[in-house]
Amino acid sequence: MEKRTHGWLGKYKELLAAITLFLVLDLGVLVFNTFTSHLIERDTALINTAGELRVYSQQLTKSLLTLRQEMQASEPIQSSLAELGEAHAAFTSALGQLRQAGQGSGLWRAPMDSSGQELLTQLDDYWGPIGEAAAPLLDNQHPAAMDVDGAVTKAVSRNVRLMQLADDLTRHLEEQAVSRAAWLRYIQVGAILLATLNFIFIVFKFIRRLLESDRQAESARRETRDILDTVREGLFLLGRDGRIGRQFSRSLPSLFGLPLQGGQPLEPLLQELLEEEQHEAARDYMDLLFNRKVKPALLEELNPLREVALKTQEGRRKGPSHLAFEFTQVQENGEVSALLVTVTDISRQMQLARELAVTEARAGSEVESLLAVLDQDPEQVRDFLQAGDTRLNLVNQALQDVKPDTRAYAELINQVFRGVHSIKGEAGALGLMDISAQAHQFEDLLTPLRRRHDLTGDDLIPIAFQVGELREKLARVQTVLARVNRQRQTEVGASHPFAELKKQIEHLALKVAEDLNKKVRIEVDFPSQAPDLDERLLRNLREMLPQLVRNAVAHGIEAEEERLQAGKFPEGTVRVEFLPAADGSLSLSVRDDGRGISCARIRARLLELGHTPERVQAMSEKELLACLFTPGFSLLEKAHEHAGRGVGLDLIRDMAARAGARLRLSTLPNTYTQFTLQFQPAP
Amino acid sequence: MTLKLLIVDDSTVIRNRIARLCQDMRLPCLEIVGLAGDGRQALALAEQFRPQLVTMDLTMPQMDGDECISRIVDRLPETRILVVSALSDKATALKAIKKGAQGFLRKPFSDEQLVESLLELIR
Repeated sequence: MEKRTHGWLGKYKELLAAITLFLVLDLGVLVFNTFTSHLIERDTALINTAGELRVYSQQLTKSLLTLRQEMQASEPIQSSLAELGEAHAAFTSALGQLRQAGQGSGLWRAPMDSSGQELLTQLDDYWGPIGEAAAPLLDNQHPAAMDVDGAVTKAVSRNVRLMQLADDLTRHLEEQAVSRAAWLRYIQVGAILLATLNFIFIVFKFIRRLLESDRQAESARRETRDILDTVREGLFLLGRDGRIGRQFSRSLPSLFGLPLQGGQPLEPLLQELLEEEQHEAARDYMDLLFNRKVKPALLEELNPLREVALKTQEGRRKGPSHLAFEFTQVQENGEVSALLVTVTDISRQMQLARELAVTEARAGSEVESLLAVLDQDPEQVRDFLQAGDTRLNLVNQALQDVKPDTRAYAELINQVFRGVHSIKGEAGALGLMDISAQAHQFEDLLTPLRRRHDLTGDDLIPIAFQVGELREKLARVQTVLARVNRQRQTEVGASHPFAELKKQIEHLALKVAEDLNKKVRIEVDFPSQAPDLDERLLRNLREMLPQLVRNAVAHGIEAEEERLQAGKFPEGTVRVEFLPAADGSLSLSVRDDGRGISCARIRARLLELGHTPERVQAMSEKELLACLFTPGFSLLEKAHEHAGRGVGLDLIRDMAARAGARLRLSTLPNTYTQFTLQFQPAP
Repeated sequence: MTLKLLIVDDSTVIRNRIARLCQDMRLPCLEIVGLAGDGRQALALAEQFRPQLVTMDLTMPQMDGDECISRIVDRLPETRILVVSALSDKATALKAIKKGAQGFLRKPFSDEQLVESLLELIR
């Protein structure tokens, strides 16, 4: 800061010195003028005094002559005497003043020059005898005639010369005054000339300085212009009023593919460039940028125009396909006064990124994704896969059951979107980027459909395809996970090949129970000797067992209150048994001590679903139970995450069929439900 | 002082992950008062426990995050909300911030990013 002040002083040092000099000169001229006027005043006084000497000499001579005449005529002489006294005194005083001026020295008493002095001495010499002769007459009321005659003689003989001398002195003093005035004039003119020169110097300096700063400003403007003309990015300032600044880079109109003018509002341009959704996001974002309360780091993260695809429109000149917008806040007095906007053409980068993505996807993103499973908590991955599977099953079911009308289609699309969105989020969280990307692609398909109001059944076809793709990806991860787990067990020499599966279903049962606010004890009884199972069978087990356990807890076990009312322990039991038989066949059973399945309830539900009472009444117990395996059939009126959407049993039936296993169901109302899977020995 | 935290996300995996991270002793100043799977549940829990902090997913059943934020900001203006959402939700996230959420965490996120975002919200 100090340095800056110093610099500032330095810049104007010359100008300040010149102004100071100008003021000093002005002051000097003023002081000198005062002094000069004083001298002139004194010179005038002296000239007057010298001029008066002539008058007084005349007056004195005249009064002496009058006195003599009056004395001769014996007339009163008082007035002549008085006149004589006055003239004598005045002459003496005037001469004294002149003498004083002649002797004086110093600043205020300019000395009379030598010629003046000489004239004054001569005056003195001539006056001396007259003064002396007149002196005795002054103090005497009756002067002697002889004295008067003596005085008259001296006065008459000297008066003319005395007057000449007085005239000479007056003239001499006048000349002296004139010459001094001329000299003073020269000095004044010189000083004023100097002051004027100084003034001219100041004006010159000032103008030069002005021109210099003008030149600098012009040069800065030119530099800015050069930058704006050559820079490839679009640069402009956006004011709080939403208008583009007067200056912007030359490349901006070509980046926008639109003609531009300074001061034009940005919003209509964006509307032309961007899709409605992005345009709206951009508007929200810019509002936030002008809001100082929102943190800059957060704003940077949220920029919706960091990579943006432009609308293709006929009216627009051919421009880039993708742009990147960056916004920097320009602050003034702690407020955001404007935004510096940088626009970059990223069409090429986007193209490359797309190509790279395709290559990467081909090369090994799936492998990466599958490898990511190894880094994750197996329980979390398992939860994710189960939840994902359930969600996709629900989607499939919903696709099959949807009523053929636009509103139902729209609701379905929203439901699918939520499911897919969850899968994407969870996959991302677990680092399963391949699945996340697949889900994202699915979302991209759904997003435009969500906005439409004229959906038809045909719009649902690609959804079914995408569901299949996603399911396949999930299944692949499931397979890898299973293999890895088996490998792990082999490596650590685990005594039990089912340890992992056991842990998984125990965890699942407790979680479902907790979610549904039920109390459940899970007993898993697996053989101590690991049977030699083929991989396919193991995979089937892993797929079916969780569904059966989930069903047992969700459908079978009653809520605590219901159990107490039925005279049971508040805690329900789910028992999982796995029994290898001697003939090589295997049996897996899941049994719960819950409410069992009441045929009356199935009948009631069938009636609710619109079946005729005659048909329902005619159905045997076996037929009624078989309904449970129909897709979309559920005894629960309200669906929740774990059951009730009519998926599960039909799925298990399908799985069992695929695995070549027999599925049996036995139940007793208010007592138990048991599902048994009978696997045939491997050939 | 302990700050009450409500975790809102329709994904159990994400909900549990956030909860587990917060309990990992890395954020001992937080007390989790509730886990909500949809907006309506979130609003009920928020009114019951009046949490100082909320982590909020945006795409949810029943009532989506956007509306939920509006209502929470309306009823509990002191509550600070961290939007936890995927990048594709940027437009929605912007709306959420405009409605009064203070932070944004992009899914997928690392443990460190979550901790950092929550600390940033507390600051």
